[in-house]
Amino acid sequence: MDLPERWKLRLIRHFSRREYFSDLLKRLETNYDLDQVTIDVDTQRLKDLEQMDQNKIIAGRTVAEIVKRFKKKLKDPRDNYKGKKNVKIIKNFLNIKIPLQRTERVIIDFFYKNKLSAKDIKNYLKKIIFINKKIGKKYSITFKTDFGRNTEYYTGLVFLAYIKKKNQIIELARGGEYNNLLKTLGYKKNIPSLGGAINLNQLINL
Amino acid sequence: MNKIKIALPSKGRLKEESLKFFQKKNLKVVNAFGERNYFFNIKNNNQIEGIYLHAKEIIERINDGTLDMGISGLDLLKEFPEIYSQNVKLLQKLNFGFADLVVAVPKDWLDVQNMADLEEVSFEFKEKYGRRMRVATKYPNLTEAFFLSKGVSQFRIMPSLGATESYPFTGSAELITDITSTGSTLKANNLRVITDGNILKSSACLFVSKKFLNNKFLKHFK
Repeated sequence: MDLPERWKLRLIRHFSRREYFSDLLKRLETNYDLDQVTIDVDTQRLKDLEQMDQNKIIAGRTVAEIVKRFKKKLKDPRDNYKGKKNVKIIKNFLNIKIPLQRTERVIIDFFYKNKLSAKDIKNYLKKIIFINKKIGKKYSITFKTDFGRNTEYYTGLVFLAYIKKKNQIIELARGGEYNNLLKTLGYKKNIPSLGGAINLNQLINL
Repeated sequence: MNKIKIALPSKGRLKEESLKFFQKKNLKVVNAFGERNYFFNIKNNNQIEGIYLHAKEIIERINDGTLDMGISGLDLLKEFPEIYSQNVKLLQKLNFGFADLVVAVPKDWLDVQNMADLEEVSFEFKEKYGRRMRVATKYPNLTEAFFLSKGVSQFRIMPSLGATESYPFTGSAELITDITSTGSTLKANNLRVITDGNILKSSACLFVSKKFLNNKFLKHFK
């Protein structure tokens, strides 16, 4: 997606916080976070900073780090039209809700139609295809792009297994991929992980 | 009959302005026990028992019922978790003691203009240095709630009792939130306020205990 890197990271980071995420989309539409007047003043001060020792630390950050990020920020595309267009794509993507069997086709079509590179989702699709092959015929599986957003540590597929009993949904298991969780908890590196929890109470009562 | 217990801030501009405010309402404060004594009376009114207290404590004492009313800052009330201020009622915002609680970063952090920048920088900081950014403040509760509402989750509160403006330059914190009326102390300490970093607009307020809300004495303040 033709989006500044910082915006991409921001959207990924806050994907799990629905309210803030829609706030971000609003901001992306209007390019609200760039204040031209302040930028003009600061661009003049940039020269002073460039002449300083680049390794000097200012409140925990090096001068080089500050200068680099400021310049990167200035280079952000300012085209509102693109912001609006991108937001529309994101919103449409989050509306996808289809049977698992159709997922590969629909996602590829979506990416093609919106001129997005499907390279990055190849691995993700592989997993979908694998699941479909293994259990797609045995169970009725729905694929939803907007699902599993409430837990911050999930990084890939998120699943929920349930049955319907007297029009009530009874959750049997929940889980997903959390590839970055270990480092967050203090381990020195990340280990790709997948896990879930089974609701034994419900399972026994079936 | 029980006397009405009133508290006024014990020092500084807030004390002076509070005294003026009372005088305007025909309640002249008399320091009957000497200038340095912390108790006061109101001229020609023997129903009142007055005491000078720290502004923060005034709210605590109204909440626990040992005071009926007092003057303090809105910032201090809001900083208290609701459970510690549930018996305190804001009767009136007063026309003095104006100050804003703001987020400030070193002025040389050119790339940080707003909270969205801060959100981004805080993640980069965590990634690079393996620890969270520290925010020095006298208002940990308000700060935490505000930061989280703006998507900044990678931070740690560094409680401060005073001279908070110095923290980013002594290695004790990376940024601060503090109360400011003109912004000159922040400027003098090489800090700048973030554009959308206004956490709270505060002023002096007249607070009363909920039990005291129907007392006739409050007619003085209408």
